[in-house]
Amino acid sequence: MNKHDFLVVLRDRLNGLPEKDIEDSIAYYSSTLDDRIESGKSEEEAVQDLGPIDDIIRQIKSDRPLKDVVKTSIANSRLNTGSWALNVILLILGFPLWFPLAITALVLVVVAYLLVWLVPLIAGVVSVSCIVGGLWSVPSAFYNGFAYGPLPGVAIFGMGLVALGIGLFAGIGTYYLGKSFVGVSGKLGRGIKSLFVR
Amino acid sequence: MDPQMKRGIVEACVLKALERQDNYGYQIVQDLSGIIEISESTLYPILRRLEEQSRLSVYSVEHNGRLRRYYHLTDEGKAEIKAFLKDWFDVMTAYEFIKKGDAV
Repeated sequence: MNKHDFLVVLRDRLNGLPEKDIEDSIAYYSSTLDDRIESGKSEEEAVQDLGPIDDIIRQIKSDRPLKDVVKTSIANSRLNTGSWALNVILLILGFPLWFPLAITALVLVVVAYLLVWLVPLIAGVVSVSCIVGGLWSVPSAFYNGFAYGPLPGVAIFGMGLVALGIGLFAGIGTYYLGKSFVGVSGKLGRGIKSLFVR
Repeated sequence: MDPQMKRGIVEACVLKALERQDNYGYQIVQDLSGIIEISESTLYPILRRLEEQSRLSVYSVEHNGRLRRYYHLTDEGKAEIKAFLKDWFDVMTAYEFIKKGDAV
């Protein structure tokens, strides 16, 4: 590939980035290729020395904002017809196909998050209900003790203490589960993002 | 090496390569070869970033009938080199402590 062809491919692959970013990249690579050629290399050698164009594109995109990178991915996608009107028409015609798929994907993502958070949620619910129940049975034990005699009163008091104990353990469990699940759902989020950004 | 740390080191090397005189991409890569592993493709986003942070400025000069892009170290860039050396002085102090092994 000679210098001109390289710059044409580069421009094409960067399509979607802001025009000034593209111009800047072209100017840089044009200048550095000229310097290589001046140092005695042929155009083809100079281009080859720059390494694979995929790496070059990735380097250029590496620091650009996410929205620009997504735009270039769309602009270079095989699904892109290149014409805005045709893209819109195909989008509308394809609605019965892509809409259910998109909804399914969305639901799957929501379900994945729900499943992940279900474990700490259950622990949390157990904790709160046991603590509330336990606290409630302490005064209730005294009331029942007076109303029905000491035996039911002591039994209820004991059960209340057991419930409080379980509640406290579940509470501690919820805290640590919650902490580690923040990490898990963060990973899930990054995983989903990486599907769209290469 | 930690990528964040590596990035800081490469950036500081690029700034240092421009301390004595303004320079262009190809020559920066040549000057830094043997010190760090860098190519024009990896250098480009670093130059862009340093330019956006106003640590470098860019201008074009006519050279053999074409334009050559030169990079110039700004005062912010010079301050950044100083900050880098200061940070690493602190790191080296900790390094000496860790290497000796026995706590004071």
